[in-house]
Amino acid sequence: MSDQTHDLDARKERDRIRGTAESTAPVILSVRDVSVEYKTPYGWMKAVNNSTMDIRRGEAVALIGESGSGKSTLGFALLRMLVRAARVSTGEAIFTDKNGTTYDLFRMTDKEFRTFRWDKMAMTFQAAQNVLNPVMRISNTFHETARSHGWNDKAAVKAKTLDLFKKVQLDPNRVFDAYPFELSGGMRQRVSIALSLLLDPELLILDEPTTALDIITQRAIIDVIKSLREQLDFTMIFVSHDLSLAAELADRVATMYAGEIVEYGPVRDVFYRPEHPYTVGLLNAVPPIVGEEFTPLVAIPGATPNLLNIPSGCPFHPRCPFATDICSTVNPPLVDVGGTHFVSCHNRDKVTRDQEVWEEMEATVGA
Amino acid sequence: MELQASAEMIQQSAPDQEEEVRRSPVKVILGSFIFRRALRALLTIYLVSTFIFFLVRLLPGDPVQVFINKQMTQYGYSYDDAANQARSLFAIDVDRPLLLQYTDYLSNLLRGDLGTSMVLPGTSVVSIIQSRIWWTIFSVGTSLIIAFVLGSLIGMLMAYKRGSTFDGIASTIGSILNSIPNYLLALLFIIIFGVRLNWFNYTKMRGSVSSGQPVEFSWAFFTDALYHAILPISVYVVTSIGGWMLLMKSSTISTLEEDHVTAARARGVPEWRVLGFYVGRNAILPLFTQLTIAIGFVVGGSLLVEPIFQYQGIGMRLYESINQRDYPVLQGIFLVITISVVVALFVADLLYSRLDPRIRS
Repeated sequence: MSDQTHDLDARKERDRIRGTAESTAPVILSVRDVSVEYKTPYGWMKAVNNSTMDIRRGEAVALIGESGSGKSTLGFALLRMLVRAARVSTGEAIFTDKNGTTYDLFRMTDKEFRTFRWDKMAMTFQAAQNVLNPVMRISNTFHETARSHGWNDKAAVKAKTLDLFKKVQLDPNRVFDAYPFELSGGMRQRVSIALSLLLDPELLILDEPTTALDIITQRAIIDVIKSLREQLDFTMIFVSHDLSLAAELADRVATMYAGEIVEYGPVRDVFYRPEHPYTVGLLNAVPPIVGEEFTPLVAIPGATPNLLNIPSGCPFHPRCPFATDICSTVNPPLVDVGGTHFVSCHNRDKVTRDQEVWEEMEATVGA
Repeated sequence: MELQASAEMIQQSAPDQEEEVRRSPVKVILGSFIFRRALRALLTIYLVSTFIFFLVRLLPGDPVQVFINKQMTQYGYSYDDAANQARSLFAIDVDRPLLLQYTDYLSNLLRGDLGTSMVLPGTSVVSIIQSRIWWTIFSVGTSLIIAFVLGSLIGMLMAYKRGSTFDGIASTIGSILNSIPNYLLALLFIIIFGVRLNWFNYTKMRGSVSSGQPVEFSWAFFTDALYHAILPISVYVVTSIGGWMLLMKSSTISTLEEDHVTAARARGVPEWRVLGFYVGRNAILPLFTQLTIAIGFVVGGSLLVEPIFQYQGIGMRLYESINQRDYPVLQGIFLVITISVVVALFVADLLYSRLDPRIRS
């Protein structure tokens, strides 16, 4: 009974902090000036540049941007799963669990992090169909994961797993003893989501959860994630280039460009009143998320910059229709424009979704 | 609440499982993986033995005719005398129709009768093969296991330390070893280590066992057999290990990049388990296919190496039989080689299906 009241309170709280309302929930993950670099034959390449954001307990945050904008890299960096050739060069990330214990993600030892990861913070991978060992039964994967974190009660692990399978709408008994090759792509993705929730993590990072799936399966997975969020208590960061997915699942959206977070705010603010020209460009490039009338799509002119040679000043200025002289020299800081909506742009007052501005820009850059 | 619900679901699905178990036992056996593979193995043996029969019979230069001619020129027999002699010696009735000869051959085969040698009249082919084949299986089998295990361990290490000095050196050595023909290395062994450096007494090491040492189950026999086999085994290992190293390296590198390896590490699976059950187990799968092919070349490899070391194995016997044109022995050896390869492949198939569940379905 008391559990139910607790659930109800938690849900109320989540509902309250969604949308544009200023959240009062405690910060679960605080990311400060994080930069990530890759070693290349031409020197260190900055894939994430001084990213700063606060994620509050219970929120769903979407990291959006084009390929190569650094969104996945940031996600992997937070879980310390970068490839060998990459390093976190600056910044810190502090995770605070529900008991108030803080964890400095980049300063924990590997051993400490091995027990921390998956227990407090877990991940669902982009090609989730391939995250299961092809020669190992699903049951074994779940038991092994639990055992690796000191949970040796096999019956309890099985009960928990079957329960999660039901929550992700899988037939528990068919799947539990199956091998991955006996399941479809969508089923494997659900198994992978269930696997990431096995140890009740407080924060879940989903890297492109629907990208590798067909459109029908995508829909099903989105519904699964939505219903999980209603049933379980976890905070979520998901990386995607799919704006409609972000609109549907996220409470807050962070737009990334050339490794920088250029706009961060509540989903309604960012999608209805975008103040960064790049977010505007992204929104103009996809069919409208709401509304009946069809507006012609406009592509953002130019291409994403070479990360080895990021333009001076604001990295977006060569492609920006609103760029002025200052943009090529000074990189604008991320400033609060009210209602926990942050934007990094010198000319944000002038930014509009006016199609003509963009079409004109496209013509000039194309010429 | 939810736990109870899942318990209900378990109960509901139980009858389905029982139904599956109740399938007719005959169907289960006929449909089983092992039965299908065994059937395929038997069919292969039958086809090859048929092929060998017609190959020998239809070859230009009838072996019986060769024998008759030899008797006539060497010992001055008349044609009829020589032909009668041949008939009684080989129990071959050249006048019978080919089809009847074929059925005779098959029924003899089923009774384990492969005929008698032409060069050593009265000695059965089966006894000749029996006296030789175990030596080859021992020497080649041991070296195959050593090269496979050692090669894949080194290859895995190379993959983990890719780009390092160790990897560079091992890759170079591996590709050099992989390109040396084994008979050449056998000669080099004798010339350099035996004759020039005089590290071992290569004349004493000839043969498969010292004369006077009885074939028995004893430590003395085992060490003696090993002493005589050490040279051919080293040659086989050295010439084949490079291939396993390079194969395992590339296979491991591609497995290391698989998402499930990264994911396992992310879940906190201990590193030794990641290496063994995620990387190693998946990386070894393509090598297993190669291993089954390598088994097929076992006797082919021993054909040239065994005569060099005077190792009394089946390869050397094959070599002698070719020189003497001892057709029944040749035919018997080919048949035994085929059967052993088919059996080896069958065993490898079963092992492979244990390693990779995808094969079983």
